[in-house]
Amino acid sequence: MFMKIIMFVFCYPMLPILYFVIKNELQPRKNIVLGITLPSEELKNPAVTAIIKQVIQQMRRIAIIFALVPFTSLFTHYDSITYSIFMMWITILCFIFFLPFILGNKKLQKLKKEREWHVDTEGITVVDLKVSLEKPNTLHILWFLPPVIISILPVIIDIMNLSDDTSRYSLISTCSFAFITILCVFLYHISYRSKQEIISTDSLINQTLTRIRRYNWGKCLIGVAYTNALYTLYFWFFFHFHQKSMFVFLAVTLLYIFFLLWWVLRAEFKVRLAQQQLFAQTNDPYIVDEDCYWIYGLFYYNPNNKRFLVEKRIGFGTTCNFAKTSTKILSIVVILTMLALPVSCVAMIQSEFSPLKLQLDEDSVTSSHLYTTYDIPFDTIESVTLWNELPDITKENGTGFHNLCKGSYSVAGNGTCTICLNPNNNSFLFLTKTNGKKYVLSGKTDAETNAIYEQLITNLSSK
Amino acid sequence: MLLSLDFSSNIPIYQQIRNQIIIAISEGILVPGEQLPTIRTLADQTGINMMTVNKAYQLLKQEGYITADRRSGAKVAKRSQEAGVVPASLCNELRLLISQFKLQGINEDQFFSLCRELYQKED
Repeated sequence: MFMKIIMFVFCYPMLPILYFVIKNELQPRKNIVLGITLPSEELKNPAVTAIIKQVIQQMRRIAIIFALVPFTSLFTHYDSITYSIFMMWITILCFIFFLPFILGNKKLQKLKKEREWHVDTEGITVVDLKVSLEKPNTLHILWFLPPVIISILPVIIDIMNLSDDTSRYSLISTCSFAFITILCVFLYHISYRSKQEIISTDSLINQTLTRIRRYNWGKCLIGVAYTNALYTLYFWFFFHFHQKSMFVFLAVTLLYIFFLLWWVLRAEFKVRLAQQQLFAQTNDPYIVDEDCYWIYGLFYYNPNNKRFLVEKRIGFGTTCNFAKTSTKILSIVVILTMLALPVSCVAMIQSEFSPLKLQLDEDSVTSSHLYTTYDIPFDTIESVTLWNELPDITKENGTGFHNLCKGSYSVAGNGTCTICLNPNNNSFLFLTKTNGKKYVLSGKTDAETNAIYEQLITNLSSK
Repeated sequence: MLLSLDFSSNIPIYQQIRNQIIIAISEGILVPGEQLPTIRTLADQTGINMMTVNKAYQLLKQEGYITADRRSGAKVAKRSQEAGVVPASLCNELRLLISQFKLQGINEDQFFSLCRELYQKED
């Protein structure tokens, strides 16, 4: 049930967010609709609005179908199946809304060609020399020092305590968060070197819009860096000291995601509004038509442009120039990373459906599940008890499915124990080693556990 | 001033940069003493190689349209030539241009009429 709550809370909002982001892109932006540049007088052409309406209808249908899919997870009690449903849902969701967009793009492209709606600047690269002269007013790098230090501190502490299990597990997460903060610093400087906004022959208008765009996205990246740094710190504290307060963790994580989205959406809508207002004000609008460099309005391909990062036509932020070899390599890495999702689903299902094994060897008791084996020699066992009820357990590190608990858990009344059991069973072996380490184990069935207990008692007595 | 570069044109990019800057100077869009972007900035903004921008600036400097040094960067040159004095290089370009128009079947009157029209447009 907990897995389902987490999946719904964190994954389900992706659907409305993606739907509204892409729907928002259907509004004309610098004379660009569905990734196609049109003359101003044709933006409200009935043929164009008909294509846009069709795209919205198709997107709505997809949204309705995809809104129902996650609810199929309510019909299974297996966490791995729930996880798999959501992961496949997310993977397909990342692409599915772009299908109607691409179809709309192709139709509009065809319409533009048929009606000969050419813009004079087709395929031309335009630069405003006066805007190029302006030195960007960036913040000093010292502004980024606090969030970078706050983000790197947990990483350093974890590296210094690598012998501790908790530190080892938290290191992956803290490194990822620290990477995000450092990426913000890098992107901040990239954003101030990004291409100018050209919407008019009046350099003052171009300069104003370029400044507004750079300022707002710069502010967004600073906001994201500070938000991320604070969350990194909280995450590290939670992982090391407060693992029991799960609902607080979920609430704080939701707040973190909310603020990240807020920074991005705020920047995008401010720039969009400024663009519309300045375009309406200008007496001499200038439209740059770079359609020939955009595949379906989504992928930028221009071998004449040596820049790696370019402003996206659709959505927020930047995209890569697919004419560059580095972009092709990066795309392969991204695809392989995305393929890790279905692979993780297979691993989870394998983990949940693999049986527990509890057996007595010649001189040890062995509990194993999949690739994990706990081998406890007889001569290290101080005491063994059979429990007919499992006390309250809280996961510290490890696996927790409805039919499998494995790893380091806090067991009520017994402190931290290594467990490998099915919590739905009624018989459990509680072993204490001479070095103080505790284990709670069970077999596939209660009968198996009971039999192992009887045999273990006999073996220990004879020794 | 908007600089437009057409990568599908037969005219090399450095030539396009050079031509447009000269036209901008003659039309008064770029005035003597006005700063031009650095080679790195212009290359960055257009997405072209720095060597291409450098070639355009070197050509403009050789022809006397701009001055360029490491400290103050590139600036539009103050016109120091005497009015009415035509450089030999321009004469040669004009001779080539006249030949091209003749081959197109344009006579002398038509040629001068076109020149007058374009000259007045520049003013």
